[in-house]
Amino acid sequence: MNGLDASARLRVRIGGLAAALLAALLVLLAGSAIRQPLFDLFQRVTPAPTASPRLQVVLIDAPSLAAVGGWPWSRYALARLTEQIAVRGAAAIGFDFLFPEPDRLSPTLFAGLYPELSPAATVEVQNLPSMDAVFARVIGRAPVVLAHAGVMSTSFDALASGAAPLASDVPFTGPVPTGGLKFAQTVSNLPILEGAALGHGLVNGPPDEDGVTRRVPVVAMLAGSPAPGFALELVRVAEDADHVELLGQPGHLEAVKVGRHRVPVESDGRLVVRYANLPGKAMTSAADLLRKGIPDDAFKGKIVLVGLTAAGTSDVVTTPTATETYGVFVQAQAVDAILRGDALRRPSWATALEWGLSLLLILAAWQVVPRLGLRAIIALVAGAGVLALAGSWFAFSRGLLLDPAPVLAPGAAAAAMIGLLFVEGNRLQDRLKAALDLERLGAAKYAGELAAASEIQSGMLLPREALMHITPDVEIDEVLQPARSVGGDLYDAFMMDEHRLCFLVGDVTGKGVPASLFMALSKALSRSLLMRPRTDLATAVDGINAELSRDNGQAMAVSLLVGILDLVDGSLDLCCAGHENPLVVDAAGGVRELRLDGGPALCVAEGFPYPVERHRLEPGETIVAYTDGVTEAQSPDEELFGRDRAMAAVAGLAAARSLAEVIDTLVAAVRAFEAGEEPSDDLTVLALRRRG
Amino acid sequence: MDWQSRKTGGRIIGEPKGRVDETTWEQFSAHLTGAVREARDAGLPLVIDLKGLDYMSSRGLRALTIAKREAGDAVPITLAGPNERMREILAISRYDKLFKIVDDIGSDG
Repeated sequence: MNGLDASARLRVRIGGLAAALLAALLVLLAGSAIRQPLFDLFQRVTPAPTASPRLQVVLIDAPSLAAVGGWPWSRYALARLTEQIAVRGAAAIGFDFLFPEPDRLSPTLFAGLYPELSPAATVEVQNLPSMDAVFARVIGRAPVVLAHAGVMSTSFDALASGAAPLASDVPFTGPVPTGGLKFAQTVSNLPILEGAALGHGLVNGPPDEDGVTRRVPVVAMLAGSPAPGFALELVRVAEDADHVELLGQPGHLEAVKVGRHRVPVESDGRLVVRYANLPGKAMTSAADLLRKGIPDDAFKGKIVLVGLTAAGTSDVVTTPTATETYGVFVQAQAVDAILRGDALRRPSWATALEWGLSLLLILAAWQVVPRLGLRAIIALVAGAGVLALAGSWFAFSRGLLLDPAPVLAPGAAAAAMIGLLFVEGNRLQDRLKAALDLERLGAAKYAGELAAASEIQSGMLLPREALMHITPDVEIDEVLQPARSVGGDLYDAFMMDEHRLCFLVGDVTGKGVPASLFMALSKALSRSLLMRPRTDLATAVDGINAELSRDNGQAMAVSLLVGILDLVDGSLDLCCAGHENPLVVDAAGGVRELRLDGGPALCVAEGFPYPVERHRLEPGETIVAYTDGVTEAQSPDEELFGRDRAMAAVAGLAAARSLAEVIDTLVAAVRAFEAGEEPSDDLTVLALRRRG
Repeated sequence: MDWQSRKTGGRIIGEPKGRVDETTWEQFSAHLTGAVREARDAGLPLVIDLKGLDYMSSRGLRALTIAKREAGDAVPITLAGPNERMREILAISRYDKLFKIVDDIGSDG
């Protein structure tokens, strides 16, 4: 694909660059819309390898409700459940729901329900211990974490009472989260329960804009101080840690460390959950637990979350891996993530890497694509796409969120655009090339025809050897050298009758094919008219002039010198139509010019009366006729050869020398004068020597 | 190739300068034909002052032929003041038989 010229290539490349910039802009504008579905797909295809064995979820499910009764359960039932969990060795127990109201079956409320009770009975009932107190006692003996729901200062739920926000149970060290959840206060539990619990964590965090819960707050800001999320608090309690370390730079929280567990978080304190498939054994129905069908050490060292999973109870959320699941499972996943220290994170160098690779790909497209074929370009784009996706997927499996879109989109767009433009450009180029080939073919054909014309033309002129045999009385020789492949000079010699030898030299104005055609016409016509019986020279030349002038639209002209030599008495009749005067070399080597009156070239003046002028050629004398290829030959400094040099060249050649030598000497003198310059005109020399 | 044209003393005078050859003859021919038409329109004779012309190839002679045809009998054309080489060219081609040739424009009667 190297057909395009440099400027076309540049245009194509700039087109590619524009496509890349557009794609980059789209990626920037619609980043998360492209990124999220892909990461969600990764979540489904590659779930976290294994969930922590320390994770246990106790489900208050439909069988539990059937066994114990409708929700909400009495605090007594919850106390029993808590005891059953605690007794099996749980390291932390978290309720994924709140207890803001007193038990509905509390003796006080019960007594109020029955006004017909006697005052004594009412007092007796009211003095019964409240089930909240029982629950509080159980909570106090077990590692329980209670949930809080954060309320924003602007929220509809903001408490009019302005209840004091709950201070965190343990201190936080390190940089606080920025730009994350900021709560003014919380909805909390009954004070009696609240005080009994070992830990307290925030359970609420809004889903992403598309309603999918991908992040769980690990740390949030509550009334200006960091407060733990529910999952973090559970792990802290299980680990018995007395503080939480926030790791990272000020304003840029990177991870949270509690006890020996460290988990990466976003700078706003939220953990991006990489969802695992929770194994069946990590789930226990509350009904089973209450029926005591579970081994005594089943929860040893485990973190147990208690949550509602009965249809219609509450807390249904959407995650990347499930369109409908229960909130407690999300909290469980968060706990699992902290325990395994495995959360998804976007490294600080991610953006630089993505756009750096993008730039590399664009450069590659700029450099390489113009040298490739369409298939190679498709393979390149597809290969880059697969690599980017695979790389992103691999990174995901390592907990890193790397976006393939910025890497791929601009490069692919550039490659595709450059590729398309190139293919199109090359198609155009091919068409042009095809046209050029056709033209060349035409030119070659034309050249062939020229060569053929040249052959025909030279075939029309008598060869040197043939001239020798026209008559034994006269020695005849010639040289004709066309300036181009076909020429406009002509000569001829033939016997008109027994005693008269006719010869002629002519030169058609102009060169090339038109001149050669006109030359052919002139020669044929001349011979034909001169051969007519009983025709005198003047009449013949008038006839030639008239015939050539007819229909001569091109305004071509031909100079012609015709001579008729009487072999008996040596009389020489000459008729000159705009031609150079001939030279005569005598036997002693003297040269003279035969000055002829003549007339203009044929076709210049119709009906011009060309005079016939009589001279003599003595035995041993040579007449040399030539065309202006001799006299107008130019030296490199544009000097003309001229008649004097022509005369000098033939002078002094002794009569004994051959005629060919005389002619060749003249031609050699002309070529030497030109000193290698290309001849500007055809050159013809015709010489006749009357034998002595 | 340069061309000046002027009207003096009841004649149109064309003054070519330089050389007429393969590269300049078309220009020369165009000026020449133009001058013939100008003379015909004005009903005046045309004098070509060859004083500034160094050389003329057969192409130039052809231009003269075309001008001659254009002029016909309506416009007499005189060639004035050819240099020695031009005079020889005109002689060889026998154009001295087609055109009136004078030594200079002043000597044209």
